[in-house]
Amino acid sequence: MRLLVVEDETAIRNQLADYLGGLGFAVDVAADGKEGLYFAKEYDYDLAIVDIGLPEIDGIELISQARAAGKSYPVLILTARGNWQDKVKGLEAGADDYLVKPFHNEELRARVNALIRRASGHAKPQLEFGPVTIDTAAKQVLLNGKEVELTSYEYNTLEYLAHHAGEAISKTVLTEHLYQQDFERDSNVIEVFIGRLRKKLDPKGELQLITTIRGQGYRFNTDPTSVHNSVEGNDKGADAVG
Amino acid sequence: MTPLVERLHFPKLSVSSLTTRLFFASVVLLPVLLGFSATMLDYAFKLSLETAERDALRSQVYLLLGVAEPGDTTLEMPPALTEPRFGELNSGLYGWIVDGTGSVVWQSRSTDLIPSDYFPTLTTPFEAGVKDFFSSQFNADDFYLMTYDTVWPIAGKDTEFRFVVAHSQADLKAILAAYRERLLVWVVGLAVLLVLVQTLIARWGLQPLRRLARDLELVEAGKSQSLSGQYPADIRPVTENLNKVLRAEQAQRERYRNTLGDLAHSLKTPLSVVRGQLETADSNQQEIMPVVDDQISRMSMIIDHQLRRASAQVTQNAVYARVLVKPLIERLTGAMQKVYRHKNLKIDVNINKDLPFSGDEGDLMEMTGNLIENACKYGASHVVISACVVGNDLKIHIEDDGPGVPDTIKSTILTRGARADTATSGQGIGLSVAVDILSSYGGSLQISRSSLGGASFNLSLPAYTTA
Repeated sequence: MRLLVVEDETAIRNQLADYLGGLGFAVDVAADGKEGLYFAKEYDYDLAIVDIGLPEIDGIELISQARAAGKSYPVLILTARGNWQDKVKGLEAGADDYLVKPFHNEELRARVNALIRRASGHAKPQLEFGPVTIDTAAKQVLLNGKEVELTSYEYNTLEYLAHHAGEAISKTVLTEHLYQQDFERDSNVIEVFIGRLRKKLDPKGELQLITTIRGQGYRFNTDPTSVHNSVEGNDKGADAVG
Repeated sequence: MTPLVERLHFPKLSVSSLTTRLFFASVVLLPVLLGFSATMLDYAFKLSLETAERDALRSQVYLLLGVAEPGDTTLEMPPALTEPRFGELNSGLYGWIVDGTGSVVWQSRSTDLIPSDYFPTLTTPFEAGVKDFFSSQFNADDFYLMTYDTVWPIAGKDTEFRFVVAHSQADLKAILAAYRERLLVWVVGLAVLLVLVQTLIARWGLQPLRRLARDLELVEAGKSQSLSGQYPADIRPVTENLNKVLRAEQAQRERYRNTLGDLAHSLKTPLSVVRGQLETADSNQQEIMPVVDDQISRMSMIIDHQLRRASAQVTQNAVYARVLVKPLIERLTGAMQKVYRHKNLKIDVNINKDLPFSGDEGDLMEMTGNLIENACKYGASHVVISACVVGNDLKIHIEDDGPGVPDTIKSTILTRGARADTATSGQGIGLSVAVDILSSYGGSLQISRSSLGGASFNLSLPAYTTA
């Protein structure tokens, strides 16, 4: 999951980046509205956190312009004043939720998770796919009710695919959403993650949870059991992807 | 709430007091002027009457002089005179002649019934050729008298004679009385007319001031931003300055609000930093965390509360604007639909599209925003917002089908507004803000049970009144 944080106050910006980074999000930061708008328009984030009072271009303008540029990812606004006029303006400009400063990190985490989940059309924090349950609030994965040990990158890969279940996701997109912008990318890492996920969640290859689509990437199957007989590829096919 | 019109010491009353002043001035001045004029007219008329009388009497004297003939011992007068009134008994016109010794040598027949000692004694010294005109009383009547002293040669000797003509004032008095009566009617008529005209003039003259008061009421009602329209040059400096004051007030209010907002922003940012830092702090500092965190919440609430109070005071002195309730509520519900999208709430807004609120748009948002958000947060599936005017109150009801508000915390919610700065951290800050603003408008908040099953928050505000 890749997030954009636009906040002019250095200390808060760093805290947000540290805290969200610690939760396993890839975080891009911008210190003013201009830089923020550039990022917001340039990349497809999973969520943007935008402070309303920004230098250069204010938060509300930034959100309107990002929306006008066709960006549909959820936006959470931060407001210090906490007055309704700001909140309503922000929401009308295209934000999806707001948080009043000073906020608790827990609160932020809950809002961020809820927004990302809702953006993918899931109302509940628990995503269920046959015997596999992904608890996006607890960042936990259960297989037949038993917890599966996953690294945070593995978990993030799985959650991203699950949020976009049924869609073909290229390796490039996956890398973009897993790593920060300035991170050196290695698409082979994605293959490794997918391989490990398959091994951990579907050791016997019965579920066909993640399908490799030749030339396009990976697809998370909404109803894993029903695709039993329509396997379109395997690990090796992923070489052509990306 | 002090409306602007009163605060600028330009209430309706002062217009009528100007009228009153003018009225009283005319009440005092009018009798004086009219009385003076009437006296002058009366005096002039009387004078002209007397002049005419003097001329008439002089003619009579000349008439007597013309027919007098010197006899052997005294003057001889013909038995009949051309003036018939001299021959008529008690005609009011009398003539007689006295000689130098004061004894009457001739008297007209009209005096036959008057004893001659009734005639006034004429004390003026004799001087030939001198006429005298004066008024005197005899025979129980007022008279004008004309005397003429002359010298006639009687039996070769110059003898002094005084010709006297007396004319009763009764006729003149009757004329004067009739004149005075007519004069009085005219003066009273004139007074009524003048008062009427004066009132009309005052009305017409004060018209621009009335218009000014009306325009100010429009400004107060938020129907216009400044005093527009053409005013007479005399009061244009007033209207121009008032417009300046209005503009300055609007600008200052805006500035003040922004400053307060900036202040809140700059105070809350360090609080955010502290809280963020605290939450990433080492575990060996864990025990101070709840304390510091609590204090941060408290400081944040104090900022909100004081910001609210300060801007509520700004609102208190504001020129109220007319805000339509429905579009504003719909903006809030639109925003809430977005935030609570996952709940698939049914939000009904039952408000007449023309229903106005008298006050600041932002304030109405603050008052209803938190209540609407609470309804969306606690409501299960249905939120209803309705508003209407009942008597002099604008009633806004925000209802949901949630669990409702337990009686035990109802009073806490309602009283917290008064002392938000001492409240402990936690829930309710949003409502305290709403209650703060509400009370600055002289409104109130009640919580009851909604027919939907959940809570019903009932706001009561002074209704918008058309100026």
